[in-house]
Amino acid sequence: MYLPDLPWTLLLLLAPAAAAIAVQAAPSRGWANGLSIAGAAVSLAIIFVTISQILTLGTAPVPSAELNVDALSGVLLLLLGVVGLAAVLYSVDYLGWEESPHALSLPRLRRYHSFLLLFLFTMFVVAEANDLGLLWIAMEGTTLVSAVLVGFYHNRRSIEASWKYLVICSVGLVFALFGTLLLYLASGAVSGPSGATLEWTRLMQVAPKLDPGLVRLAIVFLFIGYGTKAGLAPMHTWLPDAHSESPTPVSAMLSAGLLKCAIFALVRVNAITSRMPGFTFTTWLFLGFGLLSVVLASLFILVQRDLKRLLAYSSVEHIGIISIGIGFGGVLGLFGAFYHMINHAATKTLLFLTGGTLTIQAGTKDLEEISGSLAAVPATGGLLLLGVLALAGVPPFSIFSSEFIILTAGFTGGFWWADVILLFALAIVFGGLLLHLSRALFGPKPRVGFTSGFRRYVATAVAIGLLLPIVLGLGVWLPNPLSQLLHAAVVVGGG
Amino acid sequence: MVAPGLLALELTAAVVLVSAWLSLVHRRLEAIINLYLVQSAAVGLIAILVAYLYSAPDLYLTGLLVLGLNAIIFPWILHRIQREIRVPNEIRMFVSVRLSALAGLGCLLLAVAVVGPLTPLAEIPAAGLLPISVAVVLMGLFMVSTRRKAFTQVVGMLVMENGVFLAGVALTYGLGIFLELGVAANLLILAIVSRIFLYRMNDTFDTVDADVLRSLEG
Repeated sequence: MYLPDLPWTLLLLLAPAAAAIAVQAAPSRGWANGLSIAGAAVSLAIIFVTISQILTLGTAPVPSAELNVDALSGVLLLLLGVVGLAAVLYSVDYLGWEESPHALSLPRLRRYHSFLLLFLFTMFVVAEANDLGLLWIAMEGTTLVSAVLVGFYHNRRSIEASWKYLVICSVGLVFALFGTLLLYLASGAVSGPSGATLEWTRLMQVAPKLDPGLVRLAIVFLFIGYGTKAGLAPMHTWLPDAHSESPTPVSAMLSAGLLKCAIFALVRVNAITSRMPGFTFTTWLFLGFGLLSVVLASLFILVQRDLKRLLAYSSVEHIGIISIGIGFGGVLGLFGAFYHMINHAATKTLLFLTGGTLTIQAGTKDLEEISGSLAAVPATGGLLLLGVLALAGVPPFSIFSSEFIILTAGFTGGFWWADVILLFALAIVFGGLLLHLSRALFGPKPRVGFTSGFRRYVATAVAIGLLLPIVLGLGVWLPNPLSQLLHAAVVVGGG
Repeated sequence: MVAPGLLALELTAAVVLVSAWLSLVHRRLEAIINLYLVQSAAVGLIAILVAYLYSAPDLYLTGLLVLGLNAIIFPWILHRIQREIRVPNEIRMFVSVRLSALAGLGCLLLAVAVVGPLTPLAEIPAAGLLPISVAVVLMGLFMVSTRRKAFTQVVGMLVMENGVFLAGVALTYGLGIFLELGVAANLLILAIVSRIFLYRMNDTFDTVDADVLRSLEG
């Protein structure tokens, strides 16, 4: 029998799309949940194969020039695969069963799973895109799909949050489209209109000859556009609302996956401009937006009472840290930034999962009303404590390692002043997190309150088992293949 | 002496610009939808003109796409939504009409100041259209951010997209039909999703004022 030679990179796009369609035919909740898990798990497996191809060949084979799967894509795919599977698993316990705390009817459950898988699909396209136009289409696709997920509960607050999300991010993406267009124009100015291109690999080749004035304008538009989507301050205003009002597994996908996709688009742009002699504009944009995000987020973290909003502002902070790392540049800066992308993705997902569970058990998202969870619900409380310590950058957790590398890159690169600001903000965040969560964790055990929460929690346990090695283990030991992948990504990214 | 073809191109671009500015000062919703229709038709026409003048045959298709989608389907959807959920015809904004008009002029000045000095554009015949398209994008942004109704915000977004299309057809002779179809498909889905949200908002709040959307702050 003849089997067409389908590249793994194409299969990776087909798997979630096929699962999204198959879920629509699911006869029962069990089937819907199972198919969704299968879609995400198969995707993760394919991602591992793809990464092994990247490590041996440099790039994984792709079906057409619109795609390009290099080490940079590999880093993003890895974190998307892990976060995606964890989010789907958690969804099953969170809303997938009849006795789940946020149970959906079967038709709504099918729709939820389909959209979740489509969301994953659009993010995979972002990771694999070579053509910057395709990248834009995929990014706008993530907005459209996830806006439906953000507003999935149809109540006042979630409609407001998803409308705000849809409008702000779509407007932002119009700017990104304009920036993309200007890049195309710049490439045409080098080699004649017929030689104009949006393929990233070809833009990399003509990069040294691009006109700095035109590229500078393009970069401004691209930064406003993709920066909005990444949640960089001051364009972050949609983010706390969308994160706090969506179903918790979706919050995790937004925070851990989507924001990284937008940053990834900017990393691609940064790689192009890093080849332009004497062009430091992108560096300053990354540093400027990054520092502003870190400082603003640290102040907002101090005054938050809502647990999910607290986590959302922490995402703004960490996106800022990643931007600062990219701004520092060089091998160390980029390595730290990419490493931090993975670490933050896993840690933030863990926190949304345990935080989401705690809010169900406590019956409120208000941190002032939650007390003594460590004594009342030791498993949730313990994981939350662990996650918060990891998030605050306490050693030996992985976030500490990547933050340390980024800070070192700053000192060796002559950006000590940026390091000082960053350290100051990190200290505020540390204080803020402890301030808010110490009572919720260690306070007196309430007489009434906590319910048992989830009656089914096998899937959640598996998800947490998937995340813990990254949150904890990567801080102590970086496995060789991952280290190779990160180093290769640094080379691709212009370090 | 300007070539007649280029003159026609620039006059049509002026229609795009003026319609964007007028939709900043008009207070009637219907008028704004109609202005959007005129504007989209002008953008579509520009695509066809460019296709003819600079022999870029791909752009004929792009022009038809813009005419069909932006000048016919979107205005039709907008009129329908307005009728079905009875959006009041009067536009309410956070700023006065006078300020709105001035801001429109400010957008134009800003665009000229930023885009004017770019050297590599000198070789492109229709380079004069770039500041216009930047100005239209900025005016659309102003519309999105100062209008109270979610409905008018959608129109603002569509105006912004028209600005981008204008630059796309006039300067780059299109991005290739594959990408343009992708962008168009995205726009269509955006319109559909917005429509769903407008209806849902109407059911939940009994209004499509973005004003009621104020419970999430800080």
